[in-house]
Amino acid sequence: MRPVSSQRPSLRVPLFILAALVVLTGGALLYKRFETPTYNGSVIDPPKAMPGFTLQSSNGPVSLDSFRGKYVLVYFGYTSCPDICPITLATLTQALAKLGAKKAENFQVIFISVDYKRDTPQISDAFAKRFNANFIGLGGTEAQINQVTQEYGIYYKLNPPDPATGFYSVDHTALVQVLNPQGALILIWPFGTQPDQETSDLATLLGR
Amino acid sequence: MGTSSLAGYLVIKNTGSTDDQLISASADFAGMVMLHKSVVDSNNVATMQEVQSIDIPAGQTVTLQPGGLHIMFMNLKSIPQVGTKVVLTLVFQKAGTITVQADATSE
Repeated sequence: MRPVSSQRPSLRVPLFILAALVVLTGGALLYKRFETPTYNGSVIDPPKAMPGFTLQSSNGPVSLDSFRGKYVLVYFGYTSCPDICPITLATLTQALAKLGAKKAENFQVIFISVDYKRDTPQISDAFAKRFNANFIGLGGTEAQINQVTQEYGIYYKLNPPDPATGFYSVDHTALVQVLNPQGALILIWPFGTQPDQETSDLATLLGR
Repeated sequence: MGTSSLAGYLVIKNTGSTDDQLISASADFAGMVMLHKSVVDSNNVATMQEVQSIDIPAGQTVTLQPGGLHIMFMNLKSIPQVGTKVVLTLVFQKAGTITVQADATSE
């Protein structure tokens, strides 16, 4: 049988460690309250004021200005894009669904087709609405598309048609640009950003 | 309207002992089918390249997945309803023609 007294000093060490852990955890929580929010996308700081645009949807002209007060998520692509563009729009759809309908009302997704030859405003809008009825798809003339892509830092190129089939693919910058309610660029998501990461960023934006 | 092309993704397993290649694909709902590879480069520019064939080495598994290799269906005669099955015909260099069923999904 062990003498009772030999157990007592050994108890004090774990108690001390426990106390230290409590203090450390408390400190970490306090720190988290005051740290700058972290984002999965690239943060533009300070936000960059972006030029407005007016392009065509299936219901007539749509201006960026009309969404002041909302965050606007802009994505440039083309509707014959079988892969990158649908993935991006499906990811946005999932991210907003995970955020919840009420919070999602603070965000407007705008898809702009750079394929001015094939994508009429009707085709562009129908493509966007296939993912979410609240999405807006826009199109424009070659001159309008050239201007808006230049202003938003988007590269695009309509490739030469395949001689046999007439089909052509379009190279384009594949980024989602998040504009704040004042219309300034605040966040950029590269292709491959996951729905959970976007949901987290959207929640962080609303919580600022 | 609004759907002018569809992408097919699948997993191809070569259980044999000789290398093979997927050389073409077809489906009754599409007038034109191509093998494609999407690439997003370091400048975030997405390009799509047609590939003449997809290598399926002996004993290996090749996955056609979003953001990479896919079968692209164009000139759609009908749009498969989500939740239904579609039949795809795959042509391999050595294994010949193989018919598979695929699920039509919205993503």
